[in-house]
Amino acid sequence: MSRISKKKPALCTDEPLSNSTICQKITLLRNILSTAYGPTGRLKQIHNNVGGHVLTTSTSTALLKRLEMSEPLLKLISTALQHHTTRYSDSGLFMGIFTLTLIENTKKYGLRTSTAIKVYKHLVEQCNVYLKGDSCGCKVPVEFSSCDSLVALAHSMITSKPACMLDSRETQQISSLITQAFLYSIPCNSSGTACFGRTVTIGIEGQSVNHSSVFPGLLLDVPEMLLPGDLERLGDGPFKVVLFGVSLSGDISEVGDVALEVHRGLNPERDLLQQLLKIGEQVVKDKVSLFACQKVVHPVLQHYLREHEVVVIERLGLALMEPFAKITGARAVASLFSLVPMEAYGLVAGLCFQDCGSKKLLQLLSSKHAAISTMVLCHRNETMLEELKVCAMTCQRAEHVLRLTLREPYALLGGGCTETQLATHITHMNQSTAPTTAAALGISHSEFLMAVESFRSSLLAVALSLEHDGQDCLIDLTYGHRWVMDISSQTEVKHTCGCGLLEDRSNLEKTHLNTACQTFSPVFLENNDTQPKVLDSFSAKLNALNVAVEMASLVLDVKYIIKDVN
Amino acid sequence: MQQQLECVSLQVCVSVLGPLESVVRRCLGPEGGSVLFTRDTGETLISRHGQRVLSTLHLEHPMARMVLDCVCAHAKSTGDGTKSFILLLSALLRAIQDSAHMRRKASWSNPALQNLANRLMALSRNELDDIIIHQVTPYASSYCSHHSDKLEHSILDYLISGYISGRTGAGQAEILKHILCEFYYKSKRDQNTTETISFIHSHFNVLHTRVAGLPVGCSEVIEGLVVTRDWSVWTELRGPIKALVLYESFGSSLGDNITVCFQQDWLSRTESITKQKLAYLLELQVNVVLSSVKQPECVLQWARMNHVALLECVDSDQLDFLCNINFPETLSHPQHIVMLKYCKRLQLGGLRCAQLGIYSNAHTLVLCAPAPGLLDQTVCVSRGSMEGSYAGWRSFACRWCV
Repeated sequence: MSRISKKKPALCTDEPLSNSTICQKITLLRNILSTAYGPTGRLKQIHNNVGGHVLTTSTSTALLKRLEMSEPLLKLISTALQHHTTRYSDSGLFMGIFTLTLIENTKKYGLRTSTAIKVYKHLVEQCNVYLKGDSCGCKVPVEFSSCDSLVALAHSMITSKPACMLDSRETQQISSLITQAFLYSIPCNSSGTACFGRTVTIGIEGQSVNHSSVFPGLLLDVPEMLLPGDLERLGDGPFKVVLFGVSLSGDISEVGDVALEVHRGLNPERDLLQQLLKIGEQVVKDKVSLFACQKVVHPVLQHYLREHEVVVIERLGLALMEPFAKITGARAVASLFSLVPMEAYGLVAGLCFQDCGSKKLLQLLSSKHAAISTMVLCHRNETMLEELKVCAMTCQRAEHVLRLTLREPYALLGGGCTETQLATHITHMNQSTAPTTAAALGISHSEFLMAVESFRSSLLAVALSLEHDGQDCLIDLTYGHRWVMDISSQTEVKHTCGCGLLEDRSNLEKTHLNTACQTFSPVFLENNDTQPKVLDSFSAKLNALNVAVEMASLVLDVKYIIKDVN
Repeated sequence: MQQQLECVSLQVCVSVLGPLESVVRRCLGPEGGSVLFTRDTGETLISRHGQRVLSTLHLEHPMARMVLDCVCAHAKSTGDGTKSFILLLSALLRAIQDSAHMRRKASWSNPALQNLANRLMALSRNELDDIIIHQVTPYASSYCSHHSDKLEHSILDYLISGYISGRTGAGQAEILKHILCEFYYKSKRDQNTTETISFIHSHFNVLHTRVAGLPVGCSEVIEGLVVTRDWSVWTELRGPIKALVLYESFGSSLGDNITVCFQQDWLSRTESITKQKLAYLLELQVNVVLSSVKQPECVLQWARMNHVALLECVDSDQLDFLCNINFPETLSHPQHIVMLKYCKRLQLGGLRCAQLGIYSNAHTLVLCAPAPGLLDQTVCVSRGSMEGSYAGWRSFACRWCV
């Protein structure tokens, strides 16, 4: 049914960035993202005024999914942000703040957009070269011989999500759990190409966070009517295992919604049940101890198997099929009508009960070193279930970040120190070569310097957004790290810099972050004994930097918007 | 039905073209920007390609639509110059309107306008060609020379880069130009230019892959064919590989209005038919199965047991391309056997894909962009550049008799 109505003409906006409404919207989005950035970031609550789900969060993924933007330019940025966080799980807010600040600063400095785009491209290439090079002061190699850097990375990720409501001890424990789970998922002694194992996450309410732990192997819900006595009777492992991927419920619903014609004297359901029992007989004859099925098992078959001391696990679910197959080496049987082939059987080293708070779970231990582990996260009460899910998601993302680190074994200094160092380095590098670079790009010298200044102040604006309690942010003039004034005394600076690498010294000259200062080249710290306490993922931040500049260039390039409102 | 009668004067013409001009004006030239379209469905389009921008506008006035038809016809025959067309047209009409003041009249009268139109047509038919050929072209021709073979490479580079610079932002133009030239050179090897370009042009749909969420700089050219699906069953395979291409499912395909009949021995009969088919495949010594639909679980199980790699839900265009390029032995219509050089697993920006090595020079162009709107533009421009190069190369080749 189509409604016949007059087609409305499209809404056209010429030169959108000169339009004050659009600029206000850009500023508003930037404020939302800046105030949510960092460990002291403010939580945002999103709800509509007719009831419905209320979301409290400070992560860019959750925020942008729920925020509906009417302005096409902002929607573009939001989509790009979401794609980035799906891929890299981190640095979403950094990317958003940097993109929007770049756009605002380009307007503020009155730069021509084509000039700005060229210069930003040149500068981001310089940043890439610097960050990927050897003498980069903001890069820290991640040593896989000790867990400190890994735990620091996981810790930084968890602390940047204040909605989890974890205190410092709990945060420390969860970070080490994540690192533990990550290390479990790295396969050792595997032949051929190695690939990562998996960590399955289970959430349990009612316990405090301190009871969370990581177990090797797989934890499953205990099947009903399974008693500890049954397990004892099984004895010691290894136990033979069979895994079914088809439904063993004995109904013929897979045929679909068709008419059935049944010959006289035939009872299809009874025939199927006979077949299921035949499978049961074969399984018992082959001395299988654990019978698992992805879907439902017919009660008669279950009763038969239990009588013969076989543990039956049904309703495993698609998500657990792969880890189960990996742990036991069993291959899922897909057909009911033929004998189970010998190669389809698997082995499990041990079965035991585990107590996790009020819940009892069945633990499957692998006989070979399969890289599967289960992380059990506990949280206080049901109202915190939402935070628990955020925690669980955060843990998965933190693990993802650790995996990315395996590919590029570096981490960047957190706490705003990378941004300050990068800004200082870029300004210093371009001051001396400004005339030649400007000529090569085909623009004037002063335009080039203004564009560099715009880039620099955007980077520093991101570092500034980390501070929400009204403290002053400073930068030291030797190493280029970020320092914050101590809350207790208004005149003294905190003991260590933003990332925790440097300690304050009396002769370390500092100046405020948002002032113009003498350019200098940041000194490269070699052979430092102290480790930074706050680290950021290298791949995530590098990609965020590149995509941010590209999105800013794209938005600056748009000179006409046409909105079809039909 | 009421017909609206409107008296069309020169003023109306100029005002109808005004909005078109204002849109097109913003995206002309190397310093020009892009135009962003959005629909209520959320679809976005970013472009600075004149024809694309104008075709997406919803034009009500019949005169505007007529102008758009002319623009499209022009673009079809030349592939370029649509923005210049609109700007020249509006400038011409405005100049005619303003020249009324020079003749000290309020406006042009209809007979005078008709006379002017006839004289302009005579000018364009008789004199314009001469002016361009004798006064303008010599400056351009001094660029190309008679030895076209030596310059073959650079001519194509210029064609591609000229096309791209006018259609994407400065940031992406460099990268895209570089990657498209690389794509062309890698696909070429022993063939000649015309064959390569026409091959790429006709199979572009199959020879490119899109990845969203990465910067444009991550675009690359990969050998062989890339399928944006992960292997359902994977085994390591080496050497020349026999692959089976399937267009339908192995399991019983049930349509509507079918009656399933349960007879005696129905249990064993259901399985034996599928088993026979699978056993036949084993006899053929097939190592890889490429299917355009999802296969039932028993086929996956069979594949795991017999170390056969299986790729499901492949685009049927890609399968057709594989079949055509390989001169396969045809078994029976929905199955073909093709030979592959190798099969690999590939990571493209977090997505797992399959890479198939084929016995021809085809490469796949992987295009990345941070946002889907930008990705569409990148793909469009790349496709268009191949079309444009094809058209440009053909006329160039004709001219210099290559």
